[in-house]
Amino acid sequence: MKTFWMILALLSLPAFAQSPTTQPIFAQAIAPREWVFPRDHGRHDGFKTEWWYFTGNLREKTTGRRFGYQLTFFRSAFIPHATTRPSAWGMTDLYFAHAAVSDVEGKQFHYADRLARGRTGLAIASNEGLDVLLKDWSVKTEQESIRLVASDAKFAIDLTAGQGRGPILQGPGGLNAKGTGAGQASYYYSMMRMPTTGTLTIEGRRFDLAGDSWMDHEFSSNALAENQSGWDWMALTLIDGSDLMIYRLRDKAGQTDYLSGTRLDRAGAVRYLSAREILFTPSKPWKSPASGATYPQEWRVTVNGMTPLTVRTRLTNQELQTPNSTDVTYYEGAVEVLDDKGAAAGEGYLEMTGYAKALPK
Amino acid sequence: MIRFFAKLTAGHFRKHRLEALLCLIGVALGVAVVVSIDSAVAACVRSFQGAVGSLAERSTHSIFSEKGPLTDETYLALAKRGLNVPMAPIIDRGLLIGRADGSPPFVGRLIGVDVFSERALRSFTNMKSNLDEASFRQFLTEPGTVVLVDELAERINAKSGDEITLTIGALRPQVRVVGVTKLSGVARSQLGDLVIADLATAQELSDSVGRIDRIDLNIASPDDEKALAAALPEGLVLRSTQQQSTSLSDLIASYKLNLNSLSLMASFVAVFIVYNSMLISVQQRVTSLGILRCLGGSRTQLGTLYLLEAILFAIAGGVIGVIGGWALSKVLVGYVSTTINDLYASLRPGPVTLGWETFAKGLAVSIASCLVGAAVPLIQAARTPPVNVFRGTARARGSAKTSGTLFVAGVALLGLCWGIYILPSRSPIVGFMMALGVATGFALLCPALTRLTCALVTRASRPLQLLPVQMAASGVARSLSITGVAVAAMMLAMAMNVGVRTMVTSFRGALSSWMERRFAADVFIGPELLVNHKIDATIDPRVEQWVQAQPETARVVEYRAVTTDIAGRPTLLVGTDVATLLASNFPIKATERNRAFNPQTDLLVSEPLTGRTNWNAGDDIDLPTPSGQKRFHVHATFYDFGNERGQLLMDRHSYAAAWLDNRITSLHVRLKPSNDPETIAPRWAQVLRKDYPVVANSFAHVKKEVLTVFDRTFKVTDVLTWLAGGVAFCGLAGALLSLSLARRRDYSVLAAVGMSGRQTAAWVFGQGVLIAWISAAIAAIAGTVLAYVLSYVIQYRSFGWSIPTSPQPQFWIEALALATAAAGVAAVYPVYRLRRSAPAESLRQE
Repeated sequence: MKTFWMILALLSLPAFAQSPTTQPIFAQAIAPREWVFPRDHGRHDGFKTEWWYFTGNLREKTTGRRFGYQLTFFRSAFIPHATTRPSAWGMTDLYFAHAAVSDVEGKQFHYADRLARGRTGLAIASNEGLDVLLKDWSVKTEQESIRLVASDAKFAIDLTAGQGRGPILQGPGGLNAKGTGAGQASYYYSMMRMPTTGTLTIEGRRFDLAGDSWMDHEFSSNALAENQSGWDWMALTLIDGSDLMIYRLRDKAGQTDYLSGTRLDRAGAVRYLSAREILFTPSKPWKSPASGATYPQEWRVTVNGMTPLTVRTRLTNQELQTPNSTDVTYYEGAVEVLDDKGAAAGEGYLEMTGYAKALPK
Repeated sequence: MIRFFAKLTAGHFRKHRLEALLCLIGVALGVAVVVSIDSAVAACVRSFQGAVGSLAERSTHSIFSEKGPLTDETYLALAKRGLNVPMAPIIDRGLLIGRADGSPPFVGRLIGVDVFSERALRSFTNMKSNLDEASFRQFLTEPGTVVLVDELAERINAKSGDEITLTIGALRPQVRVVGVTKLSGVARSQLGDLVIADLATAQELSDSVGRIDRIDLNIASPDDEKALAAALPEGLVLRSTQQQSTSLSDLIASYKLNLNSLSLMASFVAVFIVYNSMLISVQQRVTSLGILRCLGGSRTQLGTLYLLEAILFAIAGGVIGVIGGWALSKVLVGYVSTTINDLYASLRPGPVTLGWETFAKGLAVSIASCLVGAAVPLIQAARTPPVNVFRGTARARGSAKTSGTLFVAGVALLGLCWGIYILPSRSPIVGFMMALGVATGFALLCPALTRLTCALVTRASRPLQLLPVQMAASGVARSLSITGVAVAAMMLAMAMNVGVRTMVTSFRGALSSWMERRFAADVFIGPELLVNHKIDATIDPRVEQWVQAQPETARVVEYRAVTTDIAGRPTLLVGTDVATLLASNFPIKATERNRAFNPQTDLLVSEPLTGRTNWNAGDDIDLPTPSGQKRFHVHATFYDFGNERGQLLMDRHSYAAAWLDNRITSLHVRLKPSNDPETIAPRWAQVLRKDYPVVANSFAHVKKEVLTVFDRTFKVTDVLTWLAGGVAFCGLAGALLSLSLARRRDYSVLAAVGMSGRQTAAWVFGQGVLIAWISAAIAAIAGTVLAYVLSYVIQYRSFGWSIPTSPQPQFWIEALALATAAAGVAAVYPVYRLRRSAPAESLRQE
């Protein structure tokens, strides 16, 4: 799931509330597909929305000080085909990006957002491999690694993520359901446990770090159902060697409307989880002084065949407000995972949306 | 004492209502001229600032290119530098919108924006909130789609879904309106002509693919501004919105200075009127003043009381003048804005407002004129000896003695002006001070010259037994304190009229002959937008191919003109066939001897640019170009009356290579002999206009158009000089009235011994005519000198225009005739009053 749904919804792009006669016809995620990498790391024309999402938990090499980061690029298409206009500004896609850093010990959270129309040299994703650019922010394959670069007035990210696990398809043939309605799905794969090194610079102080990153890449042309108002998503890297991705969509009453996930065990076996196999319980609400939204700070996650887990945010305030791009308020932050005895069981990232206000359709 | 004096003053003015009124009108007119010019220019500048401000909205700065067009790549490089400053690329062009009913096209403005970069800068470009989703997508993704602002949509009666035809540069595209956006507040009044397009669409519509006009930014702090300015690549400049909005003030500096000089000259004339009026008032009340002194009034008290009177006068004149000036500015704003539109920038001036600043300025001018004018009479009033009470007929005969001193002072002042003239100052203020000095110098000569002339007239008329002439001359000479000042005021107004008109006429003649030398062509072909609307535009290269193929064509000279920043100021850069121009009678000012023009390296510098940069023939200069810094050689300097901001002329191909610009602004066509341009031009226009938005005009037509613009430009100076004439008339009428009253007892004696009514009229009229003629004679000389000062010191030294000036005797004769007529009119009432007064009454007083 990820923030792109709500961003698209807020942008009110033509896929939403369009009369059938004027609506551009985009490709749909309705059946499993053949994946070819590295080509499929790149842009997928014809689909309305696409994103590349990097999160990670890192530690300072010398002190062990904990940090988290997020760097996300979104592509939203206005029309399903490339343009052949004389001007290079000829519009087809809009790109936006969010970046954030969490300094757990320093109790600092900084973030920035931006957007730009798609055009060569300004904001563009390659359709041949992983190479996404938005002004001076970028994520790009360099030899066998992925280089992540973003900066703002208060922080800078400069990391290199190496080969980890995956690509792991988040559904049969990469088809990932977003609801029970026909065609309510996306194509989605992840790469996890990518060994990451590099630096985070926060308020002028540079930290030399190492850790793991998680990458999601997803594309589709569908969006929220009428009755859905937000979602909760987490990607967890566990000490037992397994990886877990769980998400739920909430209805307007705040109840679970759709719940799903994927478990990758130590040996690399993938199990797609249905709602019946997952118990997902929020607790310890925290009210953001900035937005007034109340976010759970702790989640009890029970998956059939696994020890019950407690997912707890590492830093209370990891809320993003994005006036420079989409004006959406959401929570995206580093989490630690504890087992039922309270011992460390892993770490990951948690996203919670739709708490500040119901997302428009 | 104050109450007594107030009664005395009120009583005096009741008795001398007309004099007071004339003086008041004189002051008010002087103030009105200053206020009206100030308000009209301010309204135009405010309108321009409003337009810049409305368009800029939250953007604080813009980046422009000093070397050729700004490219997409420049913007992209900046956007990727992580400057953390919101920035947006902009296309900003003039255009024409064709109307379905065939009425003249509407002049508008095309703004090409990237709505996604605009968020931190402007609200009216937020198309997402102004358009429905389908229209928003069309606006962004479909070529040839535009959004109109509501006022424009109403004016051209267009709505969403309509197709309209635009003329932009060399293109005449048809576009589809996909939405109408509502503007409010200042933006509504200033941006009512906007056609908004997506950046891609705007580039395509304006034949500017790959190019943008500027980059707007929102810079939060001076530190960010410094950091950005330092980070800018060479050739790019950062200008604040404030600088842009004041750029019109810079552009019209010379125009404004000329207008201000004229308006201050009018108030200078008013100073003389106040002086005259106050002096008469003091003399008329000499008895009362003597009584006051006898009753114990001190000199200081008398001086203070007169000062208060002068201030009251100034306030009354100031208030009337400000209100009159405000009314007048409503007329003048039309002239001023037409000129600014003709010559500098597109304007839609709003209403002229009467702010407290204008009011204060008007009052300040009025008080200053009155205090300066009243200074001498005030001292005289304070010095009135008590004995004057017994000298009812005391006159200002003594002041005749001072005429010699004034003459010497005048000559000294004129000498001082000559000294200033020799100084190599470029300041317009020095030039203006010199003009003022010349005017004052000649004014100081007036009493002595009046006395001398009167003496000559008396001597000449004595043998001829011309008693009324003799009486008139001696009357004028005897009341020199009144008449001398009246002559000075009248002379100043006429000198101003003669001076300005001499300069304008000389300039017009020079412009006319310069055009023939500068443009050696029979037919001009240019973009409709440029020719009719002064909007930067180019023509389709196929137009040139067509013209070349015509059997009547002997030679085609391509002409490419762009405005670019050279030596820190917008300057016209022209690429043309310089060698061909030089072969004809081109208006060269100075050139290198024995060196042929080298098209690869040489260029010509216009006179105003030489004035600004000191680039002279033989110099080597470095210019920033899109292809890097390039060295050029100044082959010659040339006279240029077409552009006071400066012009560089270089070979067409050298320009194209250095500035990477191969486009053509216009074509100058020489026809084969025996072809009539007047026939060919319309015929070509008819054929070409079917496919291209161009106009073809004969040289005669273009010249006529240019001279029409020229005449329009100086229309406002005409109005001003005539207003100054009005001020002077008030002075003359006031002086004649005072003279007649002062001479009432003389008249009574003469009437008693048998002087007829006709003789009385001849006497009074004779005095008026004498004053008028003396004034006109001095004004002819002073005006011609002033014309030289205006042309050489102000225009040439400050703005680099050397306008050849020659004496224009027709204006001298005109001034004489007008002065005579004014004297006639001004004499009517004094004659009437004298003839109505009973001689016995006056004699009894005597």
